[in-house]
Amino acid sequence: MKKLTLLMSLGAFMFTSVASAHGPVRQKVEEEITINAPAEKVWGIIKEYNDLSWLPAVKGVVATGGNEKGASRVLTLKNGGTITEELKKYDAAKMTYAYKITDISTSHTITHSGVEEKVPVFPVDNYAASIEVENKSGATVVSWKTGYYRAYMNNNPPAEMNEETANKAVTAVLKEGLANLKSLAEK
Amino acid sequence: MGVAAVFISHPISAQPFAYITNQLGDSLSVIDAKTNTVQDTIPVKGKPAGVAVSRDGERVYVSTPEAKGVAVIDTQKKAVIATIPLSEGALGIAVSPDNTRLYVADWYAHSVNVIDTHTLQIVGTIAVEKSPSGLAVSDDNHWLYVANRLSNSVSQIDLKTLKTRNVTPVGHHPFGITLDSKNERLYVANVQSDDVSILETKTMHLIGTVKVNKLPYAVSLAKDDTLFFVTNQEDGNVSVVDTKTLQVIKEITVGDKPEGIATHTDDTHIYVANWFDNSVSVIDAQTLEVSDTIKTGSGSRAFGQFFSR
Repeated sequence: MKKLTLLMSLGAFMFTSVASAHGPVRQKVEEEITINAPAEKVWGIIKEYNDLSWLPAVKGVVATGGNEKGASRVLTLKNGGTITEELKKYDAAKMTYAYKITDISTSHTITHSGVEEKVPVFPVDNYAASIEVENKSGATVVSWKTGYYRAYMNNNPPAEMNEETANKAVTAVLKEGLANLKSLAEK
Repeated sequence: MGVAAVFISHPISAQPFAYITNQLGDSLSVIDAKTNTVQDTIPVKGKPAGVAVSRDGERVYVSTPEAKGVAVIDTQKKAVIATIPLSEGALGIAVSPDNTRLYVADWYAHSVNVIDTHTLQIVGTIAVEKSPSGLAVSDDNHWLYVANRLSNSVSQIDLKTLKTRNVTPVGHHPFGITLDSKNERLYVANVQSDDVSILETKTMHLIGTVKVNKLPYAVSLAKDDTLFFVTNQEDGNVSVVDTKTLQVIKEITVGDKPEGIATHTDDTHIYVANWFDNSVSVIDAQTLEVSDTIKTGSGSRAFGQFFSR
C-alpha cells in the first residue's frame, strides 16, 4: 500500500514536471522573400494545409481536417522525426494561415544536471507560426513569422536545448522553405 | 531654484507615461500618453519582460531574466541607475504603493523576493506555489496577490508577516493578475483554460469565471471599474467584459500576440503591448475602438502595471 502511494505520487510529480514551465524569454524569427511570380500562383503552392511538398525538410504529411480550423497534420521529417501541428487560422482571401506545434518527437536523450532530458527533433517549445502571401506592387512577398520558447523548460539550459540552438533551427527551416518556394514559383 | 525644481518635477505627475519593455529589443519605450508618441527609448540589457512603475513616477523597475535580475530606471535621467541580482526566473514584478518595497516573483524558485527600494537588498523571501508570475499589491500595502501558474492558484500573502493567508484555486495556468480600484476584486487571466477568474479579496471566494478567447494573458480595468479588458495572446484581440453582468460585450482586434495591458490615468484609454507587431494599441473605452497604434521596439511585452500615475 505504501509502495503504491509512493508510486502514485511519483507519477503525479512526473506528470507535472512534463506539463512544465517554459523558458523565460520567448523568441521570434521572421523571414520574408520576394518572388517574381503572381501571388495566386505562390499561394496555390502552399495553400493546402496537408501539402508540404514545397518544404525541403519534410518528407511526408499525414493530415486530417482539410483547411478547417482545428485540422491536424503530422510531418515526417527527412531526419526521421515527426512534428504534429494544429491549424489555428485559415483565410484564403488574405492568403494566409496560422498553425501551432502540438507535439515533437524525441531525437535523442542527454544527461543534464544529473537528469535525463529528451532533446526534440526540432528544438523548440510552444511554437506558433503564420505564413502570408501578399501582392506588393507587382511582386509577391511571402512572410513567415514564428514565435516560440527554447526546448528546455527549467533553469540553465544545455546547449542542445537553449535559445541559440532553437533560433538556428527555426531560421534554417524558414530560409530553406522560402528559397525553395521561390524556385518552384518562378519555374 | 525652488521654482525651477517644481517646474521640472511637475510634468512627471501631470502627464502620464507608459513604459513598455521590448524584450527582444533590449529596451524600454517611454510613451508620452498625452501625444501617444515614443519620447525616449532606454537601453535595458537582459531581455526586459516585467515592469512596475513607482507611484511617484520616479522609478521604473524592469525584470530582466537573461541578466538574472531587475534593472532600476530613473525616469528623469532616463537611464538604468542600478541592477538587482536575482535569478533567471525573475519575471512578475510589483512595487508597493508607498514605493518602499519591490516584489519580484521567481518563476523557477517558486518564491517572491521582497526588496528594499532604498538599499536594493533582499529583505525577505516568501515561498509560494509553482511558477509564480503576475503580482498585485493592495493600496494599503497589506496584501500581496500572486498568480501561481503551474499550481493553478492564487496566493494571498500578508505583507506584515510575509506569511500566506490563503491559497485559492483558479483556472488553468493563471498569469496576469489585477486588483480593482477599491481593492475588492481580483481579476486573474488563465492562459490555458481561456478564461478569467474573479475573486472577492475579502474572502478569496470565486465570484465568477468569464470565458474569453485563446491564451488570455493579462487584465486591466477602466471606466470606474465597470469594464475589464483582457489580452488574448493567440487571437490577437482584446475581450471587453462588463464587470457587473460578467458578459463579454466586445472583442477588439489589436496587433499580433498582445500581452501586457494597462490603463491610462484618465481611466478611459487602455494600452496594449503587441509582442509580435512591436507596437502598442490604444483602446478608447468610450467607443471600444482602437484609437491609436504606436510603434515600439522588438517583442513588446510590458507585463505589469506600466503606467506612471
